[in-house]
Amino acid sequence: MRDDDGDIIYFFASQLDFTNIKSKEAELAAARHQAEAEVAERTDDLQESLAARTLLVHEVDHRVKNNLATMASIVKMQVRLTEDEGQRHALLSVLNRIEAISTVQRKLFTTNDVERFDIGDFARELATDLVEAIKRDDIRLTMDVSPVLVPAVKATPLSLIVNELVGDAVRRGLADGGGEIHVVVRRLNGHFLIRVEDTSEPVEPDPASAELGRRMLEASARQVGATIEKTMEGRRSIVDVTLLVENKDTPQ
Amino acid sequence: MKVMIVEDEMLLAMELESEVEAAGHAVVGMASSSAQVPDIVRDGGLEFAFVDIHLQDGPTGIEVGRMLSGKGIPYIFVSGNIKKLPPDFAGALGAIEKPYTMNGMANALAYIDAVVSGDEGRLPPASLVLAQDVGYRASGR
Repeated sequence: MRDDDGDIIYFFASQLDFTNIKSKEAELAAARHQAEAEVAERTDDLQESLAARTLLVHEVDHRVKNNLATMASIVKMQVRLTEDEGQRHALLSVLNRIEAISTVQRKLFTTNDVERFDIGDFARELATDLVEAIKRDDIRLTMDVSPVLVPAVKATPLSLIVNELVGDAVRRGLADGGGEIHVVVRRLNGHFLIRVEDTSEPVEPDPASAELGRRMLEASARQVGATIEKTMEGRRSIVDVTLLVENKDTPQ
Repeated sequence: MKVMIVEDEMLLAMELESEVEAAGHAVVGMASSSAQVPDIVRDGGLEFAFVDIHLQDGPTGIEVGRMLSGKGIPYIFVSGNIKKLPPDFAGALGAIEKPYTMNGMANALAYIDAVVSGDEGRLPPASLVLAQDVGYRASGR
């Protein structure tokens, strides 16, 4: 309020004590800093244990691979020292299955996704390596193989199925005067299909190896709940292994 | 071919030696650590080598590989962990991943023999991983 000369004679003032608010703000800031520090520490811990876990997985994977390679070496060494044809045959049949499992282990960690396994990739490598190695021009291989990702726990039984089917077709083709082998691995109406089709004269196989193959196939199919269907049409024999693919198995 | 095997697992090294000899080649040297390599190389005549990454003196296989590559000796890595290889594969023709199969090794050996004898037209077998495949793996699947 001013007098006639315009000088101030009274004034109103309002004061508010907000020490509390200011100190609350400081407390909040301190609490936030502390929380952030805790989060950072926790993140470091988690990253450290993740790194330790990754290292452990790789270490175990490496040891499993080495042990499988050692097992295969022992069997191969015994094969070289064995002269009896029947015994050699039996040892090579064991080696063949060890190698199939080794290939699964080798391929498990090649992709960034450690929980899935590409059975199509496995089938392609197995069939091409096998047919290339036997160096027989009269055995012709064709393939209709697409990538089919399956959960890692199913990798071994499914790979053994592929191994039995392809191995059986090649053995019959070898015993006979060659033939054609067609390998199919793909999805089909919500199912997953492994088909091995071959044309060769049906030959009487060695009973022990035929029985081992049959049991391996049956056990592996039961393991994953797959059905096996065999069709023979003259020289043509078709084996279909079908498996219902669960939705949780198929992220794509 | 005259072949050197650089591998610290003796059982695997002996088995590989048998496989290489069965394919008609001569193993002229076996090394389980990087220190043993120069002597074998110095003896001369080496035409090819198999090199594991992890040796008795640590992960020195890559250095061994660079040395071989510097001397113009073709080689491949044989390892359980090819992810450890540098992007250029240290000049290797390729890598075979352990545990390999008998067929896979036999096919790779036939391919290598052809390449070393100057036949570049062949397609590499499925068992032999090339540097570009790994690049594709990392960016793709």
